[in-house]
Amino acid sequence: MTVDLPKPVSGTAAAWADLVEGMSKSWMWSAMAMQDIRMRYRGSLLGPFWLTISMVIMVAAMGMIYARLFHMEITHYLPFLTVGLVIWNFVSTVIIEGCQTFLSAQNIITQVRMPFSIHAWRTVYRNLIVLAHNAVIVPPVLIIFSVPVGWTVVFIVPALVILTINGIWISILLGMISARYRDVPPIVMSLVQVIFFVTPIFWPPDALGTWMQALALNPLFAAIDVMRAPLLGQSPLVYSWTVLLAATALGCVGTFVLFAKFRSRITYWI
Amino acid sequence: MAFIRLRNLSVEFPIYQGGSQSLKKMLVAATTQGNLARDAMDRINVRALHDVTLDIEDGDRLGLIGLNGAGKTTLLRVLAGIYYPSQGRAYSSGKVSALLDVSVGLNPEATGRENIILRGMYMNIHPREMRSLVDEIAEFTELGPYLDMPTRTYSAGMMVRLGFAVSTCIPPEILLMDEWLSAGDASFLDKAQKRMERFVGSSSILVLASHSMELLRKWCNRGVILRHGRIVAHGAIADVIAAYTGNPLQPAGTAREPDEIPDHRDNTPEWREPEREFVSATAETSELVHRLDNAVGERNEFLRQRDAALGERNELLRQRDLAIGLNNLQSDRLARYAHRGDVTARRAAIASGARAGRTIAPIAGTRDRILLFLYLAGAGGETLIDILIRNIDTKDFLVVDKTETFPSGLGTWSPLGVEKALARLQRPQIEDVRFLWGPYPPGIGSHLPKPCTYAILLRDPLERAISHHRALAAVLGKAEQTLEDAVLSCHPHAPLFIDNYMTRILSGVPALDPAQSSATTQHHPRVTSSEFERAARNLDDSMLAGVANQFDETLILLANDLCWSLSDMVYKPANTAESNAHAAETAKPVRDKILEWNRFDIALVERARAHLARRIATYPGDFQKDLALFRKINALFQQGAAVEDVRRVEYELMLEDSAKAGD
Repeated sequence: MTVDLPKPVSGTAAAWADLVEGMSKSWMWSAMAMQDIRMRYRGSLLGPFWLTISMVIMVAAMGMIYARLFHMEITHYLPFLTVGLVIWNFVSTVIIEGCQTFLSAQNIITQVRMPFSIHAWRTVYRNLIVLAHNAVIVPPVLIIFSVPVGWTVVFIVPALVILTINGIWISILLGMISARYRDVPPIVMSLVQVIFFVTPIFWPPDALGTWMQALALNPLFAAIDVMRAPLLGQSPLVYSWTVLLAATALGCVGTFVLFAKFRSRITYWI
Repeated sequence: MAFIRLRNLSVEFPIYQGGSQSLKKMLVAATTQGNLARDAMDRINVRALHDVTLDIEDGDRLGLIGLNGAGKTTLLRVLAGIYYPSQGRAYSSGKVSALLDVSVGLNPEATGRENIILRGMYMNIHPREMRSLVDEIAEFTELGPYLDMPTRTYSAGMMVRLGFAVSTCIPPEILLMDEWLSAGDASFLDKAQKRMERFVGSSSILVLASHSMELLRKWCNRGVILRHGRIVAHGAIADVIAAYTGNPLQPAGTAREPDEIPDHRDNTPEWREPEREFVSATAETSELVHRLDNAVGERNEFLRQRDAALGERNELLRQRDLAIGLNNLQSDRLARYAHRGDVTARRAAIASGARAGRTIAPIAGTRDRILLFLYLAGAGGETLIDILIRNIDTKDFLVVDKTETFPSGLGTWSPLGVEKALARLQRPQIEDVRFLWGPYPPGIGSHLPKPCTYAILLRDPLERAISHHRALAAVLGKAEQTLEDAVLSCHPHAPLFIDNYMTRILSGVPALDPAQSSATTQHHPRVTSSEFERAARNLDDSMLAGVANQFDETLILLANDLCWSLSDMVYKPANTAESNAHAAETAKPVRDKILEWNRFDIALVERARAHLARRIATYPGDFQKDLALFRKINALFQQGAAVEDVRRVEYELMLEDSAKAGD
């Protein structure tokens, strides 16, 4: 009996199908992410709220000292710092853990067939859960220091969506590169550390004076600004959205091209 | 309609050798070209599958046969859609269920039931749907109550049951299985085969890789022999197996003898040829071939050495087993004496028991040996340490009435049995003791009577002191007291005596003279307070861990299984007033003697006591909990429950306890 085989599926179509299928299996990656969190904090009393506590301590300690260093009112500085750190924490861990997206799922990838994008969703969703825990401290801070939050706060919704989309492509891209070149994760980790200091998180952007325009070159500043500004009752800088959307588009397209080309090799790399 | 089509399928693994996995080296190579480039890019492609063309139809049950590394697992992974072929095509129709690794997606801490759901998730079955299938799966596994225990407690066979049941809970159209199935027992395999036949009957495909010809013959109707990634034979399973074992394909010897393999690879010209084809023929072919040949040669050399090492290890293990076996034989003879030991003595014992109006309960097996030991330790008011002391040069501290039997909550012991047990306990070899005192070589414990060995194992004097205190307090009928009280009121010196004794052996001082205080201080420097803290902290840890690591004898294992420290085991089993009095009486001379010998370290011991009292005050709950648990278990023992039952009850109690703690 001879059967004509259907035409082979192109890499692009397979990659697209992978992304669509990954998206549709939200129950799978959300359960996996929840299990990650559960495993990480198994046996600890407060569980993920340890993150909240360490965040509170960090904010309190840094707030006291840097408000003095920068000669700022603590009522302005502390909300700024809190919101900035919470968002930075999300962004930076997505980038760092994104490197491990495929490496840490090695066991599954080599044993079970499932869309690769599920692992990216798992990484991002896990960090969204962590973000939710950290975000608990934001409302009290805003209330205590009576920050005038207006209707612009609704902008955090599209901002979060954009950040999530960016998280996905970053996880896939860094996950692939790290699987192939094993010294990428440490490089990324030290880069992220450096970026923390050159991004206005614990120092106000206007401290740069005329150099402030240079911040447009830093997409991570844009990522933080679009979330932070609405929460502090300000509107984000216009170029923040521009830069961020441009980075998103570029990243999505670039990642998709690479993903389509190398998707079938990932199993061999890890 | 399920089917699988493979057309000229090849799978190549890029082997990244260090350099090419490093981005830095790649960048350096890109900028310097030349020599560095070659190092960074030394990527060798190894073909795991080569030009495989295969059709698998509905109802086929295909067995994959081949040596390790022949490509069986790779082929299964291609069929499962995990590896993408580097050349050729793989196409399949039908829902695939792959059982490649039995533990994939299992969380060892979660219970069997939870893992069913978890595993279902990795098979793309929604937890909601999975929950409705759990009961059917549970029934098939026949694991019963084990399903509510963490899977890390499962044996390989139990994991196979669980994995197979879940993977086949929804009849798959294509089922792929790697060799692990053979870990199941015969009844399970039968059951699994029936289940399989149902699926295969309902139009589906099975692909099974295994080294077990019996299994393949039973489960499969077609077979494929893979060799170096190529299909070398294909047909009905019986023919294929005959071809494989009947050796036209496999020169001399069986295919499964590991040390045979490297030789063939080295010598047979047949082997060389496909080897060269592994290399992608793009550039510098001859050099790559050369390098690959070197690598293969190196690997074979490594395999040869490994096999030699394994052989050596097996020989050692065999010797050790022999030693343990001899040892066990001796002890069993002792413990089972009432059954088949010294018949005359037994008759005499029974006769004397009958005269005294008592019956002698039969004694048999390991458990009885442990009970005998417990009884001896308990009745004598002794700890293990005391027993060791007695071994050394005073053999008469434990007063044994040789004409009477010893009734106790644990059973009745004849004098001869007790005497023999004592004789055994009094027989440590000095050389062995000295040996043990240093770093403990694994297995050495089997040459020593267990209690003695253990007493020596506790190196830290304070650890010994604490264990002694606990045990002695319990033996003297003060078990109702807190450990603090017991410690404060019991005698502190005995454990230190051991140390003196060891010092004496090690330093060659023939006898311990109390006037020569250097005998204790020279080799046993004063203990600082931080050392005391460490000792108290480590006591139970080191007991359990040390024992579990060092000895495979049943006494030790049982202690471990029950989560007792050995000091727990010498708590007095039955607190009858009579035996208490006996214990107090017999313990006294021991204590007096020890007191006389150890006049030196009073201050040290006082400090230790104070520290211990503080610790107990800080953690009163833990100690009380342990004690309560022990009492319950001990009560079961006294009722004559089997070890497995006791173990189960204890496990339940601990679960209950941790559930409470969880609330």
